[in-house]
Amino acid sequence: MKKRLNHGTWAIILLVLALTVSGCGSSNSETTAANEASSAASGGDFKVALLTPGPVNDNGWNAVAYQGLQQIGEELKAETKYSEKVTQSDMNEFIRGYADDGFNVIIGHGFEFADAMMAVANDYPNTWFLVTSASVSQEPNVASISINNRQQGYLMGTVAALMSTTGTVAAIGGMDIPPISNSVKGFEEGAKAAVSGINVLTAMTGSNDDIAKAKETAISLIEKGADVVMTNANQAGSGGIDASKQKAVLAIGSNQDQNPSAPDTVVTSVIQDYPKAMTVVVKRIMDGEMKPEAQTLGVKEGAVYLSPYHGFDGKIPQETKDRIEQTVQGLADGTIEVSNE
Amino acid sequence: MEAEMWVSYAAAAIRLSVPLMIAGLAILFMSRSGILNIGMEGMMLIGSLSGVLGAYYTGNVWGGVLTAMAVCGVVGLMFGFLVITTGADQVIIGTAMNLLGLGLTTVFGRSLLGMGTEAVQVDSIPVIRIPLLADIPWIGPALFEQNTLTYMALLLVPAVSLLLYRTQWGLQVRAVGENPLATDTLGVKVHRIRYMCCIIGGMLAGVAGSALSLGILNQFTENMVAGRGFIALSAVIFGRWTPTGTMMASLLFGGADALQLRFQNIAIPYQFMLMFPYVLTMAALAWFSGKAKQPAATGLSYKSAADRHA
Repeated sequence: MKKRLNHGTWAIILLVLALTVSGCGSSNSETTAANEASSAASGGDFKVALLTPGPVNDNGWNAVAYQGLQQIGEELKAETKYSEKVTQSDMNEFIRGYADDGFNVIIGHGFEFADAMMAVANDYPNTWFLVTSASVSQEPNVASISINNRQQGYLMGTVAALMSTTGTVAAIGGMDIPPISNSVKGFEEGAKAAVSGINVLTAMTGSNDDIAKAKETAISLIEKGADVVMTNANQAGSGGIDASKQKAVLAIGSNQDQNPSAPDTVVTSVIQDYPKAMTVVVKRIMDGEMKPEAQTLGVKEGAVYLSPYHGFDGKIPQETKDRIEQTVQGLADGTIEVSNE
Repeated sequence: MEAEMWVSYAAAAIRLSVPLMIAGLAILFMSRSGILNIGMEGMMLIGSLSGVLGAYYTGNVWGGVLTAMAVCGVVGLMFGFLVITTGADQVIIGTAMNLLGLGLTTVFGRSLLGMGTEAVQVDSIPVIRIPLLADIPWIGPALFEQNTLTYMALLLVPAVSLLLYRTQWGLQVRAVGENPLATDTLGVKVHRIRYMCCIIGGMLAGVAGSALSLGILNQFTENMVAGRGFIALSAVIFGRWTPTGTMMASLLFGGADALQLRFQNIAIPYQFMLMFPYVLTMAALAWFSGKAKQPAATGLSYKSAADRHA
């Protein structure tokens, strides 16, 4: 009997190879966990560090934080460094490392950094610890940054209600997480404030991946009479826009300017600008105006705003534009008060 | 329910069940020959992406479907090599396939379709209204105003039935799934049959994936299959490993999915409605698992008798 490499062993070798290949592919550009960002050209004394849970080239949540860091480097002339793909078990080490190096601000991108930040903060009273997308704070040096998504939704609802001719508008959310559910609630409030008696349909799909479900949900709401649809579900949100395009109704984009994907469908998008919010808060620290509080930034700080109308610029009556502008002003100066739950 | 609502609901139910139905038939082929494929989710993802890529580069939506079939056929062949020739554990290879599918499509999706915020959009499979039939009240507009792939899927079901139950090859497939040793002794090439089923299964998985990315939608997004590969597997089990049963189960699951999207505005918390298709799946499996019987050789690798003493 010939001695051969047994079939099971072969399978395991192949499997490992296959996984290695796919693994290499997905992490090609971030080989080390602690890449150092090129420091800002001027390299002032003020040092800001960023920790992200995932790769900074993900074109989403982590990329937004990286943009914010670059903006902080450019606009505030701060020296910046970042570490990406920081796991729960490594958080403490990274935070302490940067604090020991004398960084003035350490930003943890995501609520999952909150506990680690609060645990370390007491040992480094001269460093500010910021947590994004959270509402934690701790004397004297832990604060958090979040976007007022209720205002974002309020603006979307206002535009939707004013653009509707059937008197029915719809808001679809993906996963039930605060940024999304707040925007859906805000949408309802904004629409009802803009046009009294308007019918607002809302639905949650429970997934930010399932684009087919987002599309079918939008179709069902359009068939119930909605003629302006807002979908806030990260990448699955484009399913809602696709449905609106197919059914020839209007859509409101969320989080980024979504007009280019359907120029005749997307009236405008309401953008949440995390880079701006991060820059504003770090500026407050530089100016010595920072308090250890949960910082919620919205229209007033320029962290929530409308994208350009693009092709709709000529199609929206001036009166409607004025009404929208009034709402923006109202949110900015505080006469319209909406805040996250 | 009013007529219009009913038609719109039924149309959505059929739309949502088509990817499940095709994926179910893919799993059925492999399953009847004794190969358990829990990697359908990953295969469908690869099919979704290669469908969009094919449509994008050839400029024709059918070019996309053919690309998806070719690519997934190769994936099926690979799967076949691992579980048939090397005899690796089918559950492990299936799991690896799911991970591989998600990883590969993410990488290639980003590198080929770009990292831009706008998804690359292609044409979707045309919707064809069949004259006369579509005028039948109630079922007409729901059933006969669908995309071409839907009709093909519905025709595929009797075709597969015919193939499995009325041809010699079909008999061989079923025999291999039940008792490969006995079939082998009668001179049937067990491995060849299983390889063919894997390739057919792979190609159908490609069609199922593109039914999602090109049929329902016109773009690819990461992880867009969102569990449908697993639902398709349960549709096969629920359908007791028959083509017709698989079709009925797919329609039921698609119908449940379409239903929960339409009933979120009533008093029940929407989370319960989101659970509905999955609860139905589990209930169906629990109810039928006692009565249904999977092909006896499922999950077992087979080494030809002639090879054994080599």
